[in-house]
Amino acid sequence: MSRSLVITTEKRLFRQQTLTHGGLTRSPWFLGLAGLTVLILFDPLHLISDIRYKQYPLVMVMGLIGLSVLASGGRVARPAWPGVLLAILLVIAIPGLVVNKLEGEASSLFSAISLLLIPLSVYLLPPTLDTF
Amino acid sequence: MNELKWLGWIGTCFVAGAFFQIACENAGIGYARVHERAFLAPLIFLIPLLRGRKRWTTIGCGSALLLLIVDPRTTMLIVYVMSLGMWAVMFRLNSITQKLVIGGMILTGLLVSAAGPTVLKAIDDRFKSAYGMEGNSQFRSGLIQTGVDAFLASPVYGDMFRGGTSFPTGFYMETAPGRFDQEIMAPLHNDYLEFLTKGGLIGGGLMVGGIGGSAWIAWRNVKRLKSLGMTDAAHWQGAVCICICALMFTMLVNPVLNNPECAVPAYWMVAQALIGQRYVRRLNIARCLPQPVYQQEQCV
Repeated sequence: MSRSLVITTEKRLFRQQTLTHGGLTRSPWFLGLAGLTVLILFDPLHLISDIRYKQYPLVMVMGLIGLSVLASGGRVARPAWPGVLLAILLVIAIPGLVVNKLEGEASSLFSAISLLLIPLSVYLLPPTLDTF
Repeated sequence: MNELKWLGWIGTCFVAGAFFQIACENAGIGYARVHERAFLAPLIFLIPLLRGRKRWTTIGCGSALLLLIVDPRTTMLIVYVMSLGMWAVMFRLNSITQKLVIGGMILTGLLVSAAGPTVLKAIDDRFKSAYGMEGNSQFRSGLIQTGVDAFLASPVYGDMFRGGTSFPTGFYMETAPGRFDQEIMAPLHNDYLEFLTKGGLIGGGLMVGGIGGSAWIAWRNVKRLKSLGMTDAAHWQGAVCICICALMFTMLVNPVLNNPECAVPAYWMVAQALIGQRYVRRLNIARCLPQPVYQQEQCV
């Protein structure tokens, strides 16, 4: 095994261990979503539904997915069939939603479709999280 | 498996957060919007099962019932009854009774579907009249008719997810004293119909298949994990399965998925079912690896 391959593997292992230390329910992906859920439950002003902050959950989810991709080294696990259906739904809906945004449509299914990234991000999580 | 133990507290947070929101509304700060997230309530079951604290079952279920009295919503009533039934089917009944109860639930579902919105309307009106409130079935039925008309205009592809999701309700807002001239626009209060309207049968089918399939996968995970003796993980997947089924009911009568504050917890539940399947798949591989060649066929 060449030295560069060893270093690359070690780097990947270090990233996996740093970002996924403690298993699934202590990973940033899981804790981030749990934290967001708890915040939502205790928010009487419904700030997340407010048009000014409506994109924040999506930005946060994208951040969590970014961390997962970093940890897994960009590898995608084999999805289950419901995951495939949701992925197809996301792909076929994107053009219409982009047109809606460009036309400045006040309300569309943007949140319902874009947040599908949450269940789909499961397949970007590193395999170390498959064990407890 | 210790790390699953804190998950039940999300269910407690649902009940505590609901009381907090109601208190804030009474104090004039914001407003309570609890019933659309009622699908998180089944997580309360995880506290006694994963932490072995039976007292918390009484406290959790008692406060959930108190919530139903303080904020009487038909959605929550049906979600509670459905959750208790499903929990009994999954973990408390033997296989013969289980099949009978599942058969009964399917029959009830078919009867309700055959009767259309009449049964749900009757439950809604009767439940709310018990609290001296008026049902909002008229508002919903007007919106459903609007949605059905929009769906029938293009049933296969819908609008390809173009256009807005606010529809005229037939109710008018008072812009000046005695002057009602601005029609109120609202989402359809039925996510299935909303997806059918915007994405046609293709979009609606993919959404139902994806979310319903996740519930099916969680149910299959429960059976597989139970057979492997991994009770904690089976309880986790059981709670997730009930949450997704409750979500599918909530979506029938409320706008859930197009609202980030409901969509985030909803999709998080779906994600947990899918990650449970990854976990079971890995367990299957791990079980197959060390076994002799003649046993491998059983594991595939």
